[in-house]
Amino acid sequence: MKNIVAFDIGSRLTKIVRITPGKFENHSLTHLHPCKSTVASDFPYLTSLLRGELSLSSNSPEENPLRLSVENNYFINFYLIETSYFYINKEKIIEDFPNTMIFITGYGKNNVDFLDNKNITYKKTPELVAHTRGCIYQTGLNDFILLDIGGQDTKVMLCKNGKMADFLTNDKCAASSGRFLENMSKILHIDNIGDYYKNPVTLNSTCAVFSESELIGKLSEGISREILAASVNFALFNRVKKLVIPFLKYNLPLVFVGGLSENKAIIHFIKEELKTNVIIPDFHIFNGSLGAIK
Amino acid sequence: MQSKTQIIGITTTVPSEILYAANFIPVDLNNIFIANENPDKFVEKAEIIGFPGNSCAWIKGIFSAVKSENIKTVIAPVWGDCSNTHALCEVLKTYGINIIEFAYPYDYSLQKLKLEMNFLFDKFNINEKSVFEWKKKLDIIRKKLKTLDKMTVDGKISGKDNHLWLVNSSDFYGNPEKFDNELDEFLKTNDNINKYDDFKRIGVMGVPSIWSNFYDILEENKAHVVYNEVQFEFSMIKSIETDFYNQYINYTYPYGMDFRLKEIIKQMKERDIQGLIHYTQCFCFRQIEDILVKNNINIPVLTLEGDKPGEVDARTKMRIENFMDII
Ligand code: SF4
Repeated sequence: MKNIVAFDIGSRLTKIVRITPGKFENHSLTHLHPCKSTVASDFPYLTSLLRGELSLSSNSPEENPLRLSVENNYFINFYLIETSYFYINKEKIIEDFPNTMIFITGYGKNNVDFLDNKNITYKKTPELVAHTRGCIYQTGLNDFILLDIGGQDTKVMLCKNGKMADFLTNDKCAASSGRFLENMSKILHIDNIGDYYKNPVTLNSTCAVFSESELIGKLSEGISREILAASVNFALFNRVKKLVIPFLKYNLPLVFVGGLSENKAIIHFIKEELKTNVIIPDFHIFNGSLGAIK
Repeated sequence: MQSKTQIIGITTTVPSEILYAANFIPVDLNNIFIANENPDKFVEKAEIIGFPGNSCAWIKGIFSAVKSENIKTVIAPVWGDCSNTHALCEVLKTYGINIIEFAYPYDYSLQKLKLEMNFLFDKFNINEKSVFEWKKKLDIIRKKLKTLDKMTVDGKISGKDNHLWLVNSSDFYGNPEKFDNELDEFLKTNDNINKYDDFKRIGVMGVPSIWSNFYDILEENKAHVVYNEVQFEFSMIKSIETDFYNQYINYTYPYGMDFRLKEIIKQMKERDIQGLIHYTQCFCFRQIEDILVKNNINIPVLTLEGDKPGEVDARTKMRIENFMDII
């Protein structure tokens, strides 16, 4: 097969990576439009991955199904869609990928039985395993702590010798996920909430919904939106740090992926408060999808 | 002696020897709750009368089970089992339920336990001898449960069946003879084949899970449960050789975590367990004990949290699946 597509079906967003040989062409599909495109040759590890040179698969390089022709350059498209949109249009979306090897990970990977009915073969990978692997592909590290803050949950994985050794996930509540920031930005009428980290004040509510009224209360007290934006980020950081701190004793680099790894404030707090350096891979949002490819 | 057989509700393991000797039919209220077709309705009913949304679903289920079965008397350990039982009993009293309280001594003293048991003997007007006789009778069934447990370890019986049989031995269905016959039948029809060769060996500790398909999900992920900690404790099968009083001192669940963990570590070794799942119930004080589990167990531990009755949620499934990958 010539093409590869990998889905990371998250609880809110589905992240898709599509790899096709050849030169640049318009890679919009009937139902998907790329948010980002690149050629594999710009990223040596992507080329290695596609040539089957990364030794993570239990297959030897010769048997690796991914072992693509060395001469070809590969064009890579990244698509980001709402998971609800994916489910509504799944049949049609899949039709856009003929002659393709399909890899699937994420929460939604157990809801793709429709592929069986169509006689489409695909490979599934547990979510955290895919994340760990995506990080190994992208950073070349074998030992690290991986933090993934997504739309609805936060996960921290410990990777040792190229294998996930332990993990922690947030409590059932969405207060330590991207959704919390999203709701709070709406209340503050701020688009780029992640830019603010100065002078945060403490927000006390454990519950994300109650935090909304707390925030409105603070607005009424005259506290600036900038300070409140910083406070929201700080509150999120304080929830997330409880999952990270247990792993800091290993003294390993911290890799940060997921939708929130673009949030400057969170990165700032991690560096300042946890005194640790943060590595953000090139394709941090698509880390899970890349890791599903094996 | 009680004049005629009367149903008595139990909230957890209460010495069944005593209840049977006193001519009661014990009914484990947890089982009534969770075996019902709509256990969520039980929780809802309790919430409507005022049980907080953020309180343990088992307690709410027990409350509604008392009402739905029209049970008049409940016997409950108010010490050494669950910190919420106290309040539950107080509420039940206001509904006209007769509550018999007793305690597993927190300091783990045989002498105090004997006093507690003797208090029950007097209360029910029975003597030690009749209780000992019941122990002999029940031990015959327990021996069979021990075989069943061993067969689980050997991969011949599923973790789910192990769970069901052991958990139901808290009251022996209120009818030991029926339980015994059904157990015979179950063991007789077993094919004696090891079905779990390529599975990982898992232990599950903590209160029984509230999910209806927990064991199915574990099997889907190639996890064979060879140790159901609390259910194993309920069954008393490790105390067949000991006397009545020591049986309830050996029973780890109502005493401190220290003692409980020692037994868990011992069992994990004997059963060659590769990973331990600590099931906790949302809003249960035992969630705090997870700290001690994590600090004392040196194989991978996955802590899960159940809330309302129903199927395992997507997040928990994801965690189980990834846990199986790291062990
Ligand atoms: S789960 Fe915990 S709080 Fe609930 S009844 Fe059991 S011991 Fe009590």
